[in-house]
Amino acid sequence: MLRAIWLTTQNEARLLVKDPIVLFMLLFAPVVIITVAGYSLGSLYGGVANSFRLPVVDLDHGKVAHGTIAALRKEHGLSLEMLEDPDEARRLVNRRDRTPIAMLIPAGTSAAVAAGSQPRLILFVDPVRRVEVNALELRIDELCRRVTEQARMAAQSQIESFGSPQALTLPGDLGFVEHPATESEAVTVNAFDQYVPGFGVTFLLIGMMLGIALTLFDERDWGTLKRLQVSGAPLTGLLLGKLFARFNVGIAQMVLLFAVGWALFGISLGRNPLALIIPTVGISFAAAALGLVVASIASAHDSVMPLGVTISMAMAAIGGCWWPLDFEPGWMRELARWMPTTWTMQAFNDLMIRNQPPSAAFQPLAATIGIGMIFLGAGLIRFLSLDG
Amino acid sequence: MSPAEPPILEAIEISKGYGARLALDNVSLAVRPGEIAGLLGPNGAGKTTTLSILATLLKPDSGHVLINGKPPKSDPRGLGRMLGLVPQSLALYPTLSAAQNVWHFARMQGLSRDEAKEYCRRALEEVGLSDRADDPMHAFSGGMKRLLNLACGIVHRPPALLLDEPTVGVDLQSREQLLTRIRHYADAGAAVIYSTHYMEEAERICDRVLLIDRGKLIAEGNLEKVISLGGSRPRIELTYRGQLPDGRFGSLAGVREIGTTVGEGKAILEMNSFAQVAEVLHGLRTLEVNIVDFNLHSPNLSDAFVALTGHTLRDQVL
Repeated sequence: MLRAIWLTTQNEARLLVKDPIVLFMLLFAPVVIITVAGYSLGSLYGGVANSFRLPVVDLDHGKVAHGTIAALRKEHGLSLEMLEDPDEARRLVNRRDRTPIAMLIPAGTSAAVAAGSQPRLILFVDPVRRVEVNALELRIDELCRRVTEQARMAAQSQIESFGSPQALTLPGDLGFVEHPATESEAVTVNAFDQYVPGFGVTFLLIGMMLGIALTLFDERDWGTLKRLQVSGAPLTGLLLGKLFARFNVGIAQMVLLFAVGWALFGISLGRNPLALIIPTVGISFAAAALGLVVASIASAHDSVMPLGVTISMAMAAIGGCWWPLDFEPGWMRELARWMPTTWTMQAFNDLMIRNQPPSAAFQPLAATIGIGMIFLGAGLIRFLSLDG
Repeated sequence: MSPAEPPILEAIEISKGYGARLALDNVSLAVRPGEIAGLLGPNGAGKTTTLSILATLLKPDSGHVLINGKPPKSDPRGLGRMLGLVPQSLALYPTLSAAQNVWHFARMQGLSRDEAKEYCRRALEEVGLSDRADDPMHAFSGGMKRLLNLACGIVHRPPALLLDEPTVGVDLQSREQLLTRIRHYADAGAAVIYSTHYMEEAERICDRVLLIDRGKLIAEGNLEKVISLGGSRPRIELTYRGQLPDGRFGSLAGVREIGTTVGEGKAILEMNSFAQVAEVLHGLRTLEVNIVDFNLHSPNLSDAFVALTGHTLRDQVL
């Protein structure tokens, strides 16, 4: 009995060593996920926050505006960009370029504070990036209080120097009001608007990787792939046929998820629900092609699972399927640009939460298809070199 | 089959190596319509490599293959209609039914829907699986799976059929069925290459045999010719009781003693021909050898293989 256990253990160790990909993934997979999650969510637990660009439009040009801008400039992690045009500020937020929020200081703000009114700064916000917006709003709220306090102190000293309090009015409170940056009507963000597409894409990736890679290994093991090759059918055609079938399954899977999300969780389907097909097509294509890559680099049937799941999960996490992309550090956001998940989530967010027109999904679709083509080319070359 | 007919399948001086090991060394062969050529050799002899090259799944390092007189590359789609492959592994989809398996391969071979319908029906009928057509393959017995494997290889009626150990792991009854179907298929005009390490199967259905060992073709020809190349003669295998006379069997004319195990009471005598059997038995009685049993053994392919290579056919792994 002990001998059997010992010999089996030895053999398993030999098998593991002979399959470096599995060994690598067993050790490396948790490191990948922990690294991605740690860096991405680090700021939630007191780590160094990301820096943001804050577009500011000053239509006031008064003391309060100057005080506010000076205070903003001292804020850690904020880099101010002064603009003249409020529409340009909205556009910057809509372009999602490290700018979840933009500030408009309306004309007459300083005068209103001085007159004891309660003027409001206008914040254009990206509804998708609610967490970041909330964090920034807390800081702006604090800043407004400080500016108000300074104005009051200044007024107090004036009162004291003039000695006639009746002649002066105490400044009013400076506050802010939030406006969605999108030009369309305001949207109510539902957490499921992020999670349905996010986890949908995650499971699409996992399903596609395992579906394509495992069935290709099965076909190799069964010998059906060889028999089909003898039929004169080109291997490329056989592979593309398999990918096309799974591509359609991927689309059906996402459509079903959106239908369930809409029926059960009331997710937004955007201006035109049919437009959701655009990113769905892109990610299904890219995921199918990635499945082929996994099939071509996995050394054995048993390697597919660890390899496929690790790649899927890392790609989903880095691409913003599980949390907003802006949680991630700069190097990870750069890496994310090369992932189809990133562009797909951007398109889903644009269509569902930012309520943008279908055309907003065209550029992300082009990027996703482009990355998918790279996967497809690499997968085909590698697979054909092994089985062709 | 007629030697005048041009071969459907030809391999000309093909060689193939895997790293430093030479799996095939300058092998040439040709198969004509209506002929079953047995590719015989122990495990690792190069049979599967030969079939893979003939099936165009593998490129030879040197030499070339002609299918119907043309290189395969000249018409890859036409090649599919020309060749049928029945691999050693069950190249089938376990969850699909027999009919669905055959249908898929028929369509992939380029048959139209109407053709495929008719050809599938016929293929399943030929292998005796018509009544199980709608059952999933995984529910079949080992023998039925092998028959379905054959059906998928012949569904498009290829003029050349490559069979790689098609009876491995099959019970006797199913083996008989398979061999009968393969013989019928060749009789209908197909050129068949039958790879096996079971000599008795080759003797049973092959018109011609090619003995292959360590990647080299060591003998080729019809059964009689290859067996005679081994130089073996008929044998009589004796089981006796008691003692052998002094001088043993030396006094028997035209007989050579080739093996005796005194302790077990066994002896093997080689004769010039079976016509000598009565004479030998009479001589043994005269010598007062108490014979309790005897077997006659015709020279066969195994004997020829041993004679030509110096080792046995089965369980020989390079």
